[in-house]
Amino acid sequence: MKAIYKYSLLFLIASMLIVSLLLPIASEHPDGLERVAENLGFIERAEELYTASPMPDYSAFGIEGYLGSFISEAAGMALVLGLGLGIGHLAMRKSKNAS
Amino acid sequence: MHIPDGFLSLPVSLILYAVVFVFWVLAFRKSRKVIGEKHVPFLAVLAAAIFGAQMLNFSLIGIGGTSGHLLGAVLAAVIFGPYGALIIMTLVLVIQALFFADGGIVVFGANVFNMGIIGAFTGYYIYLLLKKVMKKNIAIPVFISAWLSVVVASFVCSLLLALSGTVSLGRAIIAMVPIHAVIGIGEGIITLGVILFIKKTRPDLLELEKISPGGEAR
Repeated sequence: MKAIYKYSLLFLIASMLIVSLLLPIASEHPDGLERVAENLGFIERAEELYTASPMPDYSAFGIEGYLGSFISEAAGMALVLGLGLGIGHLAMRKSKNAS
Repeated sequence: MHIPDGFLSLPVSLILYAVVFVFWVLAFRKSRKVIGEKHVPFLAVLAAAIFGAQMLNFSLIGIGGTSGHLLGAVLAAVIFGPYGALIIMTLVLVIQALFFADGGIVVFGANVFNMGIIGAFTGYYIYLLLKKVMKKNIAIPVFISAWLSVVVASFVCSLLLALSGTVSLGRAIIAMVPIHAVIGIGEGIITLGVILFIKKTRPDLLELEKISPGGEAR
């Protein structure tokens, strides 16, 4: 029981470290779909319907460069982790009562 | 391959929301059989790690000025099954859309459909099929299914763009699929690396389907 928690924690720390180290060399080029949208001329169809996101394009609160990316990474991973733990426990707890 | 708002028509976007909703309900029912309560932390950690990995765009060799990044659908599916992978991909995509403006809101269902359902399910069943053929070897099934998941998702993305009247199907496929065939190589390498690491350190995580719900084993 304990071992999987410890493994999960180590996996989390390791992935954070690896991502943090590699962020500076991550490519700034548009991704495959963006490239195609530019080449085929439908990129201008992209609309910003939702403008409330606090860290658009992974630049946290307008902070440029590595610090912004790093804050985005840490905040994003924490948010995904928290949401995952919450939803996961909710779903699995129900199953226990049902069985 | 995160689709921004505006690329897809409203009918296409709404239909895919409906399809995804059905799969979400199924996912919560089915994943309980595979995922015990004690595996929830690793599920959440894997989702967080995939979020982080998706920030690492790699430049494509041979295609100037273009990058790709991991999807992670097959990585998640090999461990937690396709429904577990759908949950993981939904977690990643919802945080990206809400907090990072990566992927639209109206087209959120379409992005979950494309990366979380098409990517995870086609990849997973190809993985199972190849695993049966290859017997003990998992490296080749993992690499090929991860590669294929990206290629198939790019094909379906082309289909959605064409259905929405954004671009003709032929032009979309000719542009999308070759680029993603290159991006898929990165997907294959990263997925294989992580799976082999897990196989070495916690091989039981690759055999979750053998653990009964509630997870008595270990």
